[in-house]
Amino acid sequence: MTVKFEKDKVKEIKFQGEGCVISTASASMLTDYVKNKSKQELKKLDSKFIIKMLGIDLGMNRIKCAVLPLEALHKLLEKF
Amino acid sequence: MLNRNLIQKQFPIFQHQSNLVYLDSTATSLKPKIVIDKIKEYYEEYSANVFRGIYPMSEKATIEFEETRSIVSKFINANKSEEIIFTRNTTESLNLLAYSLGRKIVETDDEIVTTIMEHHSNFVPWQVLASEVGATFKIIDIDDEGYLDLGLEKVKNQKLKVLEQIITKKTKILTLTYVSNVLGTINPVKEIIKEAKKINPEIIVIVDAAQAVPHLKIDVQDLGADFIVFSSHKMLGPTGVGVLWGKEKILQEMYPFMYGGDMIDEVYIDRSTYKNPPHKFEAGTPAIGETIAFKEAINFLDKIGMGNIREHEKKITDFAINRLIDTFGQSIKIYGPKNIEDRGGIISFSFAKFHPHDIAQILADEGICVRAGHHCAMPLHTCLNVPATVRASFYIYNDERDVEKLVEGLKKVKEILK
Repeated sequence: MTVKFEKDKVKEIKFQGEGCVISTASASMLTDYVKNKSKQELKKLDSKFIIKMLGIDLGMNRIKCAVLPLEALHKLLEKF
Repeated sequence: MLNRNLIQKQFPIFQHQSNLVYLDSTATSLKPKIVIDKIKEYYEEYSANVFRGIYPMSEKATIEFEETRSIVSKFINANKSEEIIFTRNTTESLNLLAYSLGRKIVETDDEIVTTIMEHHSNFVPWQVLASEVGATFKIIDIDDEGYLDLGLEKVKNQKLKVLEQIITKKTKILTLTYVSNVLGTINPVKEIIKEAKKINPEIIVIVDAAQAVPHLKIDVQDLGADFIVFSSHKMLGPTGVGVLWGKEKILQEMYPFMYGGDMIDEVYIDRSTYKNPPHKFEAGTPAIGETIAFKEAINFLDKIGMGNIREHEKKITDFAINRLIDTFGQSIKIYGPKNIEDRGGIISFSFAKFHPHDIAQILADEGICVRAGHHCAMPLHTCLNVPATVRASFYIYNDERDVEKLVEGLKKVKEILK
């Protein structure tokens, strides 16, 4: 995942990866959602938000697939 | 072929889960009623602790518990039942060996040899031990077809030449799986042990037989290993019971594993003495009801006959491989040996560009239980150059109808994910 910030806000965000449909869809929707959001707003996002965003019944074993892109985003934010 | 309908009638789960297509026996097997009833019998009729009470109920529990030990011993043709140690599972048996044996005999600059196709439970304990004591951790590779790379296919006088380059006088332990839980490869364990002991007569050989004992007739004396380990739950028995078989002399020399009740002989303020094997390695209250019921699983397998089970699995596996390739051609990639004689009832595969988790999810919606992931064998998947695979595995309650369901399920996967 690569992010370009302008001041405090996400200007551009891209991801690259191979994965299951859930992690791919989650990454795609998440990167759409976070555009123009601030770092503080991004830090507040959690797994509940992701599950709601996807809006499908995931089952307990697929939650980790759904949350993976958010984990990547949060790891990336630690570097800023 | 075994009669699937007759067998399924003896497994209550098929009455509770209608149209169940269970293709994950490599992870754990289903349980026949006779095993479940035996657990119930213990808890309802004589649920006392073992080895302690003088009262009849405790004696009954102890007799039933020890009877399982003797039945396990006969099942694998051990020399005596004192060589059978009960653990929680195969993982614990292997960790016990890494602690009680490994830490006793492996020193700096010694070698531990294993293979790339191991389950993590037969990989990580040895990797950690090697790094702790400064020993070398060596790994036998596989060839393109999923056989151990031993040069076996070459001319006879070159046979097992690769082994000579890996095993040396410094190799204290060789530990390897009998049947790969991913590739299904049945390793030529007997031959490997013979060669390894020729190179180094002092070597200790451990065989992870978790995927072998449920499916093949195992004779530990004929095999020539020093230790073999396996789990009850993969062979129709309850969870919480593992087996470690070892040669009595080595068991006596090993350190105890866990300390406490049942394993001590005498305890003083400044020192303790320990019981002889197997009790030396069985500290604390065991899974009594589960161990007692384990013998019913063995009796059940014995009644069907291990030879019949192997033939049954060979037929389904052969049928499944052909059916999958005929239906999906190039888009399905099946890992492991093509020769059915060298393969257990396990089929791991990749399907087009579809992610294994998505495949397993769509199959699950069709009532088909398969496993997706690295199956606790990450080094092997790295070697195969895939992050994960889908695995279908067969046992006595499966037949061609389950394979047809799998094929139909995969057609649906293709339709949805294309």
